[in-house]
Amino acid sequence: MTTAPTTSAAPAMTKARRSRWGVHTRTLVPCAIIALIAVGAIFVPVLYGYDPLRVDLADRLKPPGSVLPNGSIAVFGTDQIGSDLFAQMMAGARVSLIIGAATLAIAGVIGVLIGMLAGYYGGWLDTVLMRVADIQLAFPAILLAVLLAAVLGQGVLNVIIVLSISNWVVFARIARSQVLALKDREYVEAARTLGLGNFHIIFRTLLPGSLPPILVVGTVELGHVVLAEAALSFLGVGVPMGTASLGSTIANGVQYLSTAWWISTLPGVLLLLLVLATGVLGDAVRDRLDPRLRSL
Amino acid sequence: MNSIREKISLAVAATAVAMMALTGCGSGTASTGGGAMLPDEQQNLTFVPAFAVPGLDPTKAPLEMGSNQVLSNVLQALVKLDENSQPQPQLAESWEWTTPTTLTLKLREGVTFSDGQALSSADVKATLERYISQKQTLAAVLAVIESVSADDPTTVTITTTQPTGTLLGVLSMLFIGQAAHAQDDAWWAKPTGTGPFVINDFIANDKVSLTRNEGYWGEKAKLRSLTFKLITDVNAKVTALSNGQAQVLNDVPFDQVATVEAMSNVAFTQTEGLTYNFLWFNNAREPFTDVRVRTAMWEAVDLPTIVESLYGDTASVMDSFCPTSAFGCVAATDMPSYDPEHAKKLLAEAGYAEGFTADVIFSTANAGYDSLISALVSAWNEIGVTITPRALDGATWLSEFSALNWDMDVQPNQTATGDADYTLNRLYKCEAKRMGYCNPELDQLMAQAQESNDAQARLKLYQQVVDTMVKDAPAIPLFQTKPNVAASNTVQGLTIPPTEFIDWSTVYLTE
Repeated sequence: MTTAPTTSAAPAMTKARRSRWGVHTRTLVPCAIIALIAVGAIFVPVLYGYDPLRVDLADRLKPPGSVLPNGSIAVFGTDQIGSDLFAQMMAGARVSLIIGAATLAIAGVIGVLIGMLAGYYGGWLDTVLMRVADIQLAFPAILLAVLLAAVLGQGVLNVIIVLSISNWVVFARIARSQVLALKDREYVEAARTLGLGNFHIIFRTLLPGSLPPILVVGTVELGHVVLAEAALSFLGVGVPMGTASLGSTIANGVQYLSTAWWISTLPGVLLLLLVLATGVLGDAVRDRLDPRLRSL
Repeated sequence: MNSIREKISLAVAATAVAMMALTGCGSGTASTGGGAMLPDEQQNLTFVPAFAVPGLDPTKAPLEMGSNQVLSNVLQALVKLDENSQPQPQLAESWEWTTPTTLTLKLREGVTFSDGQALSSADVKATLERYISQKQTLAAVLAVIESVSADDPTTVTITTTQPTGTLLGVLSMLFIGQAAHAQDDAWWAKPTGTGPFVINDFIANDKVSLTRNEGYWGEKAKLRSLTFKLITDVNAKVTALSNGQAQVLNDVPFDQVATVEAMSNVAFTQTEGLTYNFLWFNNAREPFTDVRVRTAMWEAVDLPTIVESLYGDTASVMDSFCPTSAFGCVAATDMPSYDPEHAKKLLAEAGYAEGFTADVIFSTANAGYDSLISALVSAWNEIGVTITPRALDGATWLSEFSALNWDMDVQPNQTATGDADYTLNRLYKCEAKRMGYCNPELDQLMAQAQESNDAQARLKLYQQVVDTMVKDAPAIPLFQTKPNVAASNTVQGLTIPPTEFIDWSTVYLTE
């Protein structure tokens, strides 16, 4: 049955309202999830007195909800060396978030700087920097990361370096395209006419205008970086033994999949939640900041 | 249509009856369970080994477990070790020490290679010389051989530089090839042997397929084809057994044993083996130069609990420096036991009351080692010692290990000849320079034990050897593993020797 619209504006309004409500939920729910994981990552390992090198062989491979001999309840069970899985996952999430934030900061600053310089000055600088970026993009990011990690060795700092190297390109390209789009705008022209220097124009007029898409990319990239760190640790080239990581916990549990499913599954679910939340949040931030980017 | 179908079914029935009759007559031993023997064209078995097969030239890598598991079915040695690690005739029918340094072996007559050529003493001489000239991992053990001579087609005489009671054990590891190809690396990469199987196809570190040697000099193999297929992922391995992709698995980890045993059509067996795991201290590096520190580290770990929890009944704690099933690996008196309080006292006496920091290296190629290392590190932490584990990939581990670039090292090892001499004399004498340990007194005892041909005298000497070693604590023997096999119920005639070199010629499949 079709009912003729009473006013042509009503459906559009409803749609707009619904999408605005959608943006709200899509911002709030992921934010809540990320905040919850962050709070857990900060406090749970401390509360549990988690020590990645402590082994309690009597308590190994206990299923979720088991009561341990010391009276505590292992909510998510214990792993193959008897360590509490919940505390271990939260300590892993802590490492993931630290690596994610540090990588974003480093890759973001370097990438945006290179991108803006390339976009603003153009010419040979642009050609050189962007060809380097193209060459790097020709390699699958994870392959490059594994290669670098194998050369540098294990360690949290090394993982940050590796992931920064494989992630700056995204920021550089987005910053460059923004600068190209903005640099002939009237307000930039005005700044130039007023006699402002290149430094001022780049950082005071172009940078603020380029920030929204960079923020969007940054939010989405957080998920990618967390996933990449887990992948490296899963493959044994990420964080060393003795540092908790979602990736290495999943790897440790693989050979117990048929007997102790929780060791691999639960950290996997946590990783999924974290990555999904950042993805959805990035999407919502984009809709909010710059609806024109929807097709991105 | 109908008549053809009838004819076919008649033919099938007839063949089946014939096969049953044949098997009934052929094998005297009753099979344990299972149905009738499968027809010959279905006698194809896939085995998932515990070790990769990087190459098939035994003279290039004589101690490669995976390669030896395959090659022991293709090539044969002069003697083979029985389940008590005693030499038994194989290509050599009999042997005699004519002087303390001269061993004369009489070759079995009528032995032919799979290409039809007869085995002669020249083949033995050329092969042994090839082993010696390759200067591989057995070089130290082969150094005692002064010369090999082929006196007549069936007699070989080996002269040694000094009396060597352990020579036959060494000979059990040397596979005999053809004299004409002694210099030919390409031939040795896919050698032709006197064994019950022939190499058909080989892909390094993936699979080796063997087919029956139809002209075998002894009782022919019952399997038509045998494939060694490497599956490294534990879950995939167990799945392969349950869906019939493989019929036999080697080395099921303890945590999977319950899963395998729960499968209705699978039999799980384990035996005593020659493989064990040890921890080495870098005896030349501070603070492990101090025997009190080494003993303290030993006393800090509760090995019985660790081994019981991580490996269950697939492994057992050791009472000597090599596995008990090897000759001469007698139980040491006064092995240090778990005593963290005493360990702390020892550390304090050595001047490390506040503890110290050091590292331990291991190869990630050893499945399950991260749990073991975590358990050790956690135990040392209890006595105030901070140990950083360094998990290295196989190649990096080997280069670090060889460069002695470590404070402690944990690794598996095998007493391949089934004789204490092979492990103790090869690894712990001063000359070996494997871990900076040197005790001239011990060297002397071990040399005496090597020279002696008298089993009782050797056992007495080894008792002194291991007791000295316990006092010096240059290493911690962690545990010895029991080789295990999970086989489908259709597999008959399978036994696992301590060396884990399964003889597949007696194995066959039933319905």
